[in-house]
Amino acid sequence: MAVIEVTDLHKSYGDVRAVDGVSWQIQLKEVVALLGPNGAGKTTAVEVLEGYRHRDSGEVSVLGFDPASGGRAYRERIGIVLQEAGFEDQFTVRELVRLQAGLYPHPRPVDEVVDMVGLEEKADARVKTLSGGQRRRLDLALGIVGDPEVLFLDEPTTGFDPSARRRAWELVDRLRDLGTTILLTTHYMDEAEHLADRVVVLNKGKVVAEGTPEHLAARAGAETVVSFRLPDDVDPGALPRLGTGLEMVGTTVQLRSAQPTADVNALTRWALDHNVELADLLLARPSLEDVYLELTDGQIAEAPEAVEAVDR
Amino acid sequence: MTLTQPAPTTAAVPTVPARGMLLRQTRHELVGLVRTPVLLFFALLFPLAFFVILSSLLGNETLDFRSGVRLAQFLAPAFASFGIAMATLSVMAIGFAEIRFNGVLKRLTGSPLPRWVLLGGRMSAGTLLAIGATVLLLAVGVVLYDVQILWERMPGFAVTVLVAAVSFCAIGLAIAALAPSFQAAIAIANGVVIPLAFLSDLFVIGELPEWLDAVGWAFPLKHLVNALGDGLNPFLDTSGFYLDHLAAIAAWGVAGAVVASWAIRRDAVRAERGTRVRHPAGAGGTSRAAARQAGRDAVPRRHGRPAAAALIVDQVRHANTLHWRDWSSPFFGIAFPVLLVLLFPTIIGGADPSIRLEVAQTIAATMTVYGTAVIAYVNMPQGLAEAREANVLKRWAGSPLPSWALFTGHAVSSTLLALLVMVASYALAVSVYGIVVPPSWPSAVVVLVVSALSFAALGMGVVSVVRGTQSALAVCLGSLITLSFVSDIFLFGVDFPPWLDALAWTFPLRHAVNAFGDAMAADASGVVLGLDHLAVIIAWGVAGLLVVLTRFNAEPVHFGRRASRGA
Repeated sequence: MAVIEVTDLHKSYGDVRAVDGVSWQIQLKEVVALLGPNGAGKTTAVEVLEGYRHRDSGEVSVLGFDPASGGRAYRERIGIVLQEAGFEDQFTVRELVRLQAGLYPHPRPVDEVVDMVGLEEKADARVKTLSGGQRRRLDLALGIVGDPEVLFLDEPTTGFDPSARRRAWELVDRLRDLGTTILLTTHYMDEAEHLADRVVVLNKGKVVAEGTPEHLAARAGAETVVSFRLPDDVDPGALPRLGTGLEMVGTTVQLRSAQPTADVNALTRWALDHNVELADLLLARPSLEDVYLELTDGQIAEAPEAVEAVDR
Repeated sequence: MTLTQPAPTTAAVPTVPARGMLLRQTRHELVGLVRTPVLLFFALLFPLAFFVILSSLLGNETLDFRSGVRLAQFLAPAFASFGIAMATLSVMAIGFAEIRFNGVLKRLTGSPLPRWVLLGGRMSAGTLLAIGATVLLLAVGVVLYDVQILWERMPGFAVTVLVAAVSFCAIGLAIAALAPSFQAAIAIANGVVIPLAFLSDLFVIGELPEWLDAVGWAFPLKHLVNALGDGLNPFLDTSGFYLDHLAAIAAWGVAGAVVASWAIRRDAVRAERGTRVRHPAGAGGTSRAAARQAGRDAVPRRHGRPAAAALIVDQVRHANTLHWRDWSSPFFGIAFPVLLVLLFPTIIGGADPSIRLEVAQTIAATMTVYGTAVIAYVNMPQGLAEAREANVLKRWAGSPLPSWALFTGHAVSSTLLALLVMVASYALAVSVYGIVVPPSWPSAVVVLVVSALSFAALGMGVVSVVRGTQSALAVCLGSLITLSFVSDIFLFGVDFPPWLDALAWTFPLRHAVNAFGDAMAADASGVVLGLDHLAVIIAWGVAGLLVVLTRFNAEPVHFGRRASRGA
C-alpha cells in the first residue's frame, strides 16, 4: 500500500522551477532517501509533503491526506525534523519534549524518547548548554515523540560526529523496525546506502534516477575503479594501455576496468619492470556515489569507498 | 608524493598597517550600526524624541521654569548626555555581548586582527555615534527652540563629549564581558542607563531628595549632564572645562576598562580550560519538581487527542516559563514599573506627604497599565518574533498544535503577568505610601484583563506584519514609548494642543490608563467600567486579531527567497 504518493508535482518560485514534475510512491514501512545537490528541490518537495508549501500543480497524498488541507488530523500522524530550526534556549530538553508530547493523541513516553536519541544525561540541562550534535538529537526527539506513522527527516545527521551519526542511524533502523515509514533527504551517500530501502535522485527539480542502492550502483556498470599515484618524474603517457583508459583526478591516476585481475597484473608488472612505486594503489567497486556524481554533474566529490587496498 | 611548498618565512611578510586596520574596523562597525535600526533608534531618535516632546510640552510660557531661562537650553545638553550614554554604553554592551555569545568574537580571536583594533574600532564607532547624537540634538535645539551655542566654550564641551564617550564605551564593554548571557547584557545595560537617568537630573524636573542627589553624584552620567549643561548655561561665567566632572567620568572609564580587560582575559582562560562561555544556568541540577515529573515521563501522557484546555494550559505554562527565564522581560515588564511606583512619589512629592499620596495613587495605576503594555504588546510579541526567526514556530506549525491554542496561550500568559504587576504595584504603594484600594477594584481587574488581551492581539498583529525581529521590537517599543507620553503615563496634568489631545484619544493606551485609573481612584465605588473606554480598547484588539488571522506566517522570511537558494 502506498503511504506517500506524488504524481507530477510542480512548484516554482518566480522563474525558478524548484520542483519540475516529479513523481514517486513510497510504500508502508519503507525508508526512502531523496538525494541531490544543493538546489535540487529536495527540501521544497519534502515541504510540500509536510504541508508547509502549496504545490502549483500535481497530486500529492500522504496517509490518504492531502497535506495542503490535512490540518491537525494529518499533523497528528506525521513527524517532522526540519533542516534548520532552533529552540527556545531557556528550556530544558525534558521540558521541550514534554510540551511537544502534549500535542499528540498517542505520544511516546518522554523518558523513552530522550533515551532513544541518547540525551538521557542532558535531559534536565538547558538547551543553550547543548552542543550542535546534541541540539540536532533534540530536534529528532521532537520529531518522533508523537509516535508518527510517517517521519520526514531533512538532512538528519548534518553536523554530527561519526559516532553520533552511527547512533542516529541505529535510531532510524529502530524506527523502521517499529513500522515507521520514513522519507529522508541527505547529502551523504553512505547514509543513503545504509538507511534507505530505495533512493530517489533529484537534480534541478527532476527525478534523474530511482531504485535500490544496489540497483543504482549496478547502473554504473560492473567496472572496477583502479587508482594510484605516480612519482613526479614519471610521465603517465608512458603507462601501458589499460581498461577504459587513464584519467587524472587531482594527483591520482584513475582507470575503470572490466577485467581488474588482468589489468592490475599488467600495471604492476610494468611498474616492477620500470622500478616505479605506485603509491596509494587502490581497487574500489563503483559506489552509489559514482552514480550520483554522474547523474548530478559531479557537484560533490568524495573518496570512493575502498574494498581492497594494495599498500605499496 | 612530492609537494613543492614555499619555504615558511617569519620575516619579510609585510603586515597590514595597524592604522588602516583600525579605520577599516571602524567603518565596518559603523556599517553594522547603520544596519541595526533598533540601536540607531535608541541612540539617536529616542533622546531626540524625549527632547522634542518635553520642549514642546513644557517649553511654553505657562510653565515658568528656572527664572525665565529658555527651558530647551537646559534640556538639550541633558538629552545629548542621554544620547551619548545610549550610543556608547548601551550600544557597546549590547553589540559586544552579541558577538561574544554568537561566536563572532571567537572567530575574530583566531584571526590576525589585534584585539585592540577590534575594541578600538567599536569604541571609535560608538564615539562617532555619540558625536552624531550630540550634534543632531543641538542642531534641532538651535533650529526649533532657539538654543544658543556658546562657541568660546565649545572646546571644553567637545573634550567632555569625547572623554565621556570613551569612558562609557569602557563601562559598556565591562558589562558585555561580565554578562552571563546576551539577554542579560541587554537587561543590565538598559537597567543601568534608565534608572541612572532618573538620578542624573534627566527626566526629573524639580528637586531630588538629598540622598538620591548624593547617589546620583557617585555615577558618571550626572557629571556629564552637569558639565554639558554648564557648558551651555549663558548665565555662568566659565571656561567650559570642568576638571572635577571630567575626572569623575574618566575614573569610571578607567574602572570599566580594568574590569573589562580582566573579564575578557577570564573568558580566554576559561576557553583554554574547555569551559564554555555560556555556563549552564541550572543545568544538571534536577529540581524536586522535575524529579516528580520524571516519574510521569516514563509513561505515555495520554491516549486520544488532547483537550483544548490542556493545550492552552500547556502553552500558558510554556510562555510563562519563557518570560521568567528571559532577563529583560521581568525587568522591563514588572521590576521597572514597580520601581517607578516606589521612586516617583518621593521624587515628585518630596517631603510633602499629601502630594506623595496623590502621586502614588496615580502612579500605581499608570504603571500597572504601562507594565501590562510592555508585557503584552512588547515582550510577548518579541518572544514570538524570536521564536519565528529561529524556526521554532515553523516546527509548531508542523505539529498538531492549532494556531489558536498558541495565540490564546500567549495572550493568557501575558494577562496573568499583568495581574501580577497590578498586585505588586498596589502592594508596594499601599505599604509604603498608604494609598487606598477602593471597593471598585474588581472593575479595574476587568479593565486590565480586557486591555491585556487587546494589547496582546495588537502586538501579535505587529509581529504578523513586520517580519524582522529587530524591526518588530522597534515598532512595538517605539510606538509604546511615544504613546506613553501622550497617554497620561509619563506626563500627567499637562495641557496638550487640541489636535494632539484628540489624536491621543484615538489610541487604546490612554483609554486603558483612564479606565483603569477611574476604577482604582481613591473615591471610586461600585461598578466603574467606563464602557466608552472599553469599546475603543476592544475595537483595537479586534483589529489586531484580524491582522493576526489574515497575515500571520510562522516562517521567518519570504520562502521564495529561501527556496531559490535552498535545496
